[in-house]
Order: sequence, then structure tokens, then C-alpha cells
Amino acid sequence: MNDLAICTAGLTKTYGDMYAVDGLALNVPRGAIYGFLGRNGAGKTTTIKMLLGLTRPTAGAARVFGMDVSAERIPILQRTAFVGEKKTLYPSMTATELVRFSRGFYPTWSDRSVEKYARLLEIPMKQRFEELSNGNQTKVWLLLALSQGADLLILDEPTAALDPITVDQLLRALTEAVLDRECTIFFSSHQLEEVEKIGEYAGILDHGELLMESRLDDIKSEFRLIIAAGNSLPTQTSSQVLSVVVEENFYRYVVAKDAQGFAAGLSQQGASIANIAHLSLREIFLQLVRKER
Amino acid sequence: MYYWKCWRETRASFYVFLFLGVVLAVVPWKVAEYTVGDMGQARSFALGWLILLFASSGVAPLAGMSFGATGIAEEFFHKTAVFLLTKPRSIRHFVWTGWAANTLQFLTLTGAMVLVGASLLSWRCHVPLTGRFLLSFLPGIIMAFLLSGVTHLLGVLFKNGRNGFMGSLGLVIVFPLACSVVEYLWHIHLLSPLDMYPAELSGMVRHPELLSTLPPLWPSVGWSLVALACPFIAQLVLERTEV
Repeated sequence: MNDLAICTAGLTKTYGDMYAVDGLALNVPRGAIYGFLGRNGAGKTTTIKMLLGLTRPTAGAARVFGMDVSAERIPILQRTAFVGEKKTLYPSMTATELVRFSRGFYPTWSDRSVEKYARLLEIPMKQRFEELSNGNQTKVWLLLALSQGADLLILDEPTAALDPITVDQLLRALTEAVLDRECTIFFSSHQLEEVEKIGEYAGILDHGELLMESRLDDIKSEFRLIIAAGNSLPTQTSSQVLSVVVEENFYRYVVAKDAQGFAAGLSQQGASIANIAHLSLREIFLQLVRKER
Repeated sequence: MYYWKCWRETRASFYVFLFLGVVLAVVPWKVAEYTVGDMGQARSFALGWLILLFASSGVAPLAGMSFGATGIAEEFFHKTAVFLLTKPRSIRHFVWTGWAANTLQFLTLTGAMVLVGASLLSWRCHVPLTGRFLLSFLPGIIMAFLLSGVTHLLGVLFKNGRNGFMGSLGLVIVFPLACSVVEYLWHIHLLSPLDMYPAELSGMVRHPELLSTLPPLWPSVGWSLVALACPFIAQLVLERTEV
């Protein structure tokens, strides 16, 4: 538990009969960059809001640095920087004024970081927030988050509305932040390339359920797509078999470990193995999420 | 930080109200200039005093309502609540900091208005100012507290400061009318903030010695408590609100 920056167990949020988040069990190690993937409406923002104490869970528990999100909101927020999904800040304030406003909340605030990221991200500091482009508005919020000296950065789709060059600058800045200060970054996105570029861990959420959580290295070395032809083959999912899609006599299995052993088991049941393929994060995402439809 | 933000939001209206208040504070002196020959110094002073009392009882509550419409309710309306409420401070901190910023502003306004108006009147009519005289402004200040609190609370309930202001303005118009109707039809006296003003108010010009009448104690205490309860209820509501 102490090695985890974020840990949730059975975390659930319902709105009426609708499950926004359903029994979520996340484990985000300290010092990791964790990509939280999911389609729009998958429950990513609701999860983030529960982690920040903005929304109360209906059931289950969530801890940030071992602290309960419901009972210890303020100590958590002292160590957490956040960039929201809707990049709305005070419209009449300039970036300089927003820095002035935010600085006093955090003893760990770094003016040197403000200068560094303002230069790096080319932010017009004297312009009113409402007059900035969408991209620059996002950059201002990122600047505030990165200058806070936080142990945990929670970023809700941080690269939305940014151009590719700025995305690249930002991803490098995030990687540097992890290396310099050993902070943890938990960011939600549906940009799989970004997660593959800087992430160490990925979790895939769909319809409020966590479909997969793994190290990206494990995905590369262990995860396989097995296509088998046969009749009455197993369709149960487990910690080994993440998804099964059946199309006529063809079975498509996403296997998380021991793919060869699993394929051998299928052969024993009369299946002929058509293919065993490596999977990229994108392919896993598509396999898991499509299956859920 | 948040105090600075609240001040930054309301400072333009604060300067407008300050200007208006000081201009209105000069009116009683000019009235005394015209009437002192006919009415004598004491009655002229009493007339000027009543005008000042009336003007401050209008400006301070209006300023209170205007300032009460800002603060955390507007954070929801402008969708900045997520940004604010992820700062490591409690909801209580934000509610009461906003309240303190508003309160200090309308107290400064009323203070400036009374200081200018009363000093000019006292100087023109040669009537020394006493603490009892100055206490006559207390109901206006409590009214400002009350309307600022009610506006703030309604703003939080509507999640929109402007709607809070309109709701509060509606109450200011409808509530005294409702009290009058109930009293006229059924002879039932509903508790009203106007009870804070002494009943002798209307006879003060003819009997200037009544100027030293103190405002009734219990209505003032009661409505002060209601005024304080409003931000407290707003805090409780916000603590149960999901963003």
C-alpha cells in the first residue's frame, strides 16, 4: 500500500441506475507515469473527481498516498496538482495573476518552474485568460500544475487542444518532472500514442469498468492475440484471458500471460491455432473496448 | 489568495458605491444649509440625520447584495469551481473568506458615508456627535449583512450569483409587502428586519431629542443571527454539493 500513489478498491459511482464507475480497482505505483485510457464517457473524469474529493463515491474506497479521499481531502490536495478536463480558469485574470493566485496555496510552489515552463511552452503571461487560444489556456493550467511542486499530477486529458509540437514539449516536461522530483503522473487520455510514448503503466476503462491494468513492458513481452478456429471453445475471461470475441467458428483471445500454454490448451480441445500475434497498446485497446460494445 | 481574488472581483463596484455613498452623504449637509434658517439648528440636524440614515440604509444593503452575488456561487456559474475546490483549503475557508471580503467592503462604505455625512452635519448645525447618534446606523449595517448573506445563500442554491441577486431583490420587494398585507388583513405582525428601526423614527424631525433613541435590542440581535446563519447554511450546502 505504501508503494502506491493511488489505490482504489471496489470504487463505484452511480447516478440513479447508471453506473459511471463500477467496482474500480486501480493500483498506481509511486513515481510512475500511468495512462488512464478510455473512450469518452468511460468514467475517467468521474474517477478523477472522486480521487480529488470533488465527488463522493457511492461505494468502495480510494486512497491517495495512503490517505482516504473522503476523510483527508486537504492533505491530499496539498500534494496533488490537477489539470481539469474543461480548461476553464478565471477569464479576466492574466497568467501572471493566476500564478499570483495559486502560489499562496502551496508551500512547495516554485517560481523558477513558472519561468521555465512559461518559456518552454511559450505562454503569453500578460494576456487575459479569456483572450488566449484554447491551446494557450490549456498551457496556463499545465504551467500552474507543474509549478506547484506536487508529488502527484492528475491530468484529465492534458493534451486536448494542443498542437503536436506543444504536445511533444509537454510530454518531455512531464517525463522530466518525474525524473527530477520523483513525482507520480496519472493522466487520462484517449491518445494511445502519448501513453505509449511516456507511460509506464496503462489502465483501460470502459463503461465504468477497468478492463485491464498493466505495465507497458509486460504488454510488449507477454500480451498476445490468439486466433483459433474450432467449435465450443472456452469463452470465459480471467486474469489470463482478458477478452474473447467469437465470430462464427473463429475465436479471438487477448491473452495477458503464457500465450503458448493457453494455445496448447486450445489445441487439446480440438482447436486449430490460426495465429499468435504480438499486440500494441492500440490493438489491445481496440480488442477490449470493441468486445465490450 | 482567495481574499485577493474576491477583492479583485468586487473592487470596481466597491469604488462605484463609495463614490455614490460619499456623494449622497453630502446631500444632508446641503439640505441643512437650506433649512437651518427656518427650522433651527436642532431640527435641521435631525432632518439631515434622517436623510443620511435613509441613504445609508439604501446604499449599504444594495452594496451588500451586489457583493454577496460574487464569491463561490459564481465559481459554479463560470465553471471554475473545479479549479478552486482542488486547492488545499476547506469549503468553509472559501465561504467565510468571501463573506469577510464582502463585509469589510460594505462596512468601509458605510463608515465612509457616515463619517463624511455626520461630520458635515455636525459642523454645519453645531451639534456634537455622540455614540448614541451613531448607533442609529446599526440597523442599516445589519440589513446589509442580512441581504449580503441572503444573496450569497441564494446564489449558492441557484449556483449562480446573479440569480441570487435577483432572488434577494425579489425578497426585498415582496417581503415587506407580504408583511403589510398580513398585518392589514389578519392583524398578525410578521417578524421583519424593519423592526430593527426605532418606532420613534418618524417623529424625530419635530422632536430632535428622539435622535438619541437606540435601535431595539432584540430585533437587532435576532436579525444579526439570521445574517450570520446564511453563510453558514451556504457552507453546509456546498459541503454536500458534488462538483
